[in-house]
Amino acid sequence: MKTAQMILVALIALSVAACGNEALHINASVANAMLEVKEHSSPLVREARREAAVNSARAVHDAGGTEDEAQAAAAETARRWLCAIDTHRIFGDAVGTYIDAIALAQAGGTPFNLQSMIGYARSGVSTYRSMRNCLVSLGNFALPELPGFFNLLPPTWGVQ
Amino acid sequence: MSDQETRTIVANVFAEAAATAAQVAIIVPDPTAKAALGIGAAIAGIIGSLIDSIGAEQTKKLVEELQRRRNVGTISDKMLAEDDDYIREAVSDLYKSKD
Repeated sequence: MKTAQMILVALIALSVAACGNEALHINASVANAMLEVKEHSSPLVREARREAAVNSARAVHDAGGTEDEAQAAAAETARRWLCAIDTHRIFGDAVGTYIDAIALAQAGGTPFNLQSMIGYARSGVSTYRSMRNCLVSLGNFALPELPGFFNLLPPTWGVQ
Repeated sequence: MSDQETRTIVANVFAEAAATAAQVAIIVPDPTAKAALGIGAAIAGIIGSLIDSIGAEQTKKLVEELQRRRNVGTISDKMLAEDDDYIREAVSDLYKSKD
């Protein structure tokens, strides 16, 4: 791994785990960005699923298939797309948990902890990747890929 | 640079100034200078805390906003059922238009 990337990871780690108000603000900003991704990807994922299902039915229709066959093809495609819905929900849950942890820390319920805070952010990153991988495997659906340096965060630094 | 970052930097400058003034006040032999530096350190510390507390208020608002919007974009079972209905109707329409 490049030195610059390692330094960047160290900076992210320090930023997320910094002390006091700055740490809260940085974590809240990261969570806010994740929430934006969740909000904006939701209608896109649903639309893509509907479109894929109808397109598979249209292919059957155009090939002279019956309505029952077209409905079955659409249902099968919609079922395959459930991985996108499921991973979107898991990503949403991870973001929600991150927000809860930040709110708790702000209320003074829990102290800031480098490993757990990065763990929450990492959990969001991992589930985003799962969602992206699912969508890419299903066809022409482009979501931005996250930089590989996130892999440098130790896997054991997860939410307990 | 955001307002929050600027506030943090300014607050840190005041905190540094307060710490330096307090350290100098300890080693300065002149009682008047000692008192002046002590008062200066206290004022700088208060200003620094005040600036940082304004930032904390903004952070609090951001976290409250996050909590309020926590569930936006969640794909519910009801939405999924609506999408399935839409798909069934769209497929039916394909055959209706054929007729």
